[in-house]
Amino acid sequence: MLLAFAPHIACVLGAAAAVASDAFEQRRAAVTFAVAGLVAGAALAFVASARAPELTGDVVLSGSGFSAAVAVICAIGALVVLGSWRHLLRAESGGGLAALAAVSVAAAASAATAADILVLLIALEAMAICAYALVWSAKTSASVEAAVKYFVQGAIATGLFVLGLAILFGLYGGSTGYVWIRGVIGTETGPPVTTAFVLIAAALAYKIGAFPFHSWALDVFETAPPQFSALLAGVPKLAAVVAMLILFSRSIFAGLDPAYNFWVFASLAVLSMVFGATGGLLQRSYTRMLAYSGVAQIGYALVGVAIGAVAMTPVALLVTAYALAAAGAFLAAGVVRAERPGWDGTIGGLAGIGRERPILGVGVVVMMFSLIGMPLTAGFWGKFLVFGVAVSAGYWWLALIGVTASVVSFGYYGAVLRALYFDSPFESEPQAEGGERDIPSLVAVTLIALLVVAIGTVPLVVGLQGLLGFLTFA
Amino acid sequence: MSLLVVTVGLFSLGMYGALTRRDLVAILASIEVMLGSATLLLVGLAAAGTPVGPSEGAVEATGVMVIVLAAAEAAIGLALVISVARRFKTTRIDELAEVKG
Repeated sequence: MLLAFAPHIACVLGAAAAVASDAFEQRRAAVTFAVAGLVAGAALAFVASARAPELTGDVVLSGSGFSAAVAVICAIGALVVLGSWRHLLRAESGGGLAALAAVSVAAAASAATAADILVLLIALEAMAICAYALVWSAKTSASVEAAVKYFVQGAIATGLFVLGLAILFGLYGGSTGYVWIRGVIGTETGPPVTTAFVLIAAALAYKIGAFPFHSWALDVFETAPPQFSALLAGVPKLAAVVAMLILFSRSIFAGLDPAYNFWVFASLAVLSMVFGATGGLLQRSYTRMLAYSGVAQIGYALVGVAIGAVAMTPVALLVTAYALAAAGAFLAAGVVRAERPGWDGTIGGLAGIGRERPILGVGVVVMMFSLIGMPLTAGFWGKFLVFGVAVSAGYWWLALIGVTASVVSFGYYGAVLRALYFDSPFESEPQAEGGERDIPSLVAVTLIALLVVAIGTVPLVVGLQGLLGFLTFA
Repeated sequence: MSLLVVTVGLFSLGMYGALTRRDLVAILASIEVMLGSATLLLVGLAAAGTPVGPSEGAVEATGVMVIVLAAAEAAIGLALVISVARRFKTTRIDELAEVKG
């Protein structure tokens, strides 16, 4: 019972200690507390993941894959906050920002394991409110504007979710637990159920930034401090995708016609994959390109969501791989910004980094390979398994679109690799002075790169079962 | 039934406002109407005595939670709007043109 909530409590305690330390201007202590809370959360969830799945207090799911997802979320959060160390020590009220990051991770962990639709709503909202503030915290005109536009769209999505919840709960409820609502709905597919389905699916599609609900993502990830983009690109999407899988294929809406479920999410998947893969080709900004890549990756994940319960483990693996690679790629942007204060944020501006900074260069290469889905990286297993499930379920055309989109997206990931190693910096442009090494970020990028490679290679030696077993939701 | 018509009507009104108004304060108000209509649905259902489930008072509790949520959202929304007003000297969303979206 206690172990089910322990990871969430650890994260929130870390955040509370961070806020308290920040009040006494102890910024270093604040960031340390936030990281410590997240690490403790990851460790506790890892311990809990060895247990059989259980429904605790009708509120959260814990054990096996559910706890494993929480462990992954907390671990990525800890790595990102560690990587933001330098940024947080310098930013105005950096301790508070560290606390916000830790709270958003706790909220993501709650969303991923919610077994009660009210808990899911509150967790998603807590995640979003932290995200608005983190995006705003760059305090440039662009980031303030991106934050307010993000807020307006996010608030509309919340409105849709709340109405969906009210209809579902009002007409069938009596209790907000998934198990209860599932029992009451049964196999009914009348207008109220389908309306609630559409409203909640739209709200969640917005949270994960699937096309056509993606427009906030492009501006937000381009303009937010890269350290916070690293957090917001992966962790909330991982949480929302797991929540979608539980909601749509395992609980409340599992009684709907599978074909209905399939076509809604398959069309979102195809649109996201096509839009993300082609739109990114036109981008010059590195972080905006990563935002497009995020839309494409969510498209691959939605392929699995469309197929349903059998795709749960592959999808969780795919989104984990994405969250890791996106965190590393955005943190790398933060490292470059610290070292080259004059960097205009373009992919071309990365010229020569690979040769000047070998460790950073190799780190970015690993992230890009994982996002492409190259073998020997975590991204390969995610795509391989998701497309494999699609083919064996008879939707080979969906896998074909996914593979084609991956090949097309090589265009923009490849552009980064070319800039890193083959382009030389413009000779005429003198390098701006005053650059500094961002060692904590570099350490975080290296750790993430090692994890990505370990997930990619270890299964080749010991077999894929260990990896799949870790994220099995049964 | 009439409850459903009223609340869905209110919700649509709020959503129409949120999508078409260009002033951030008006958008914020429209969003509050959207959330308020969902609360009204919950409260109305609770007053009508439906539905009956295992946990008594769950509908009312959910309604209170939605109100708290709306308040939290209004708080951060107003903070963002004030920040925009200070920086850009306007609260019209179409006059902000720093980002592409």
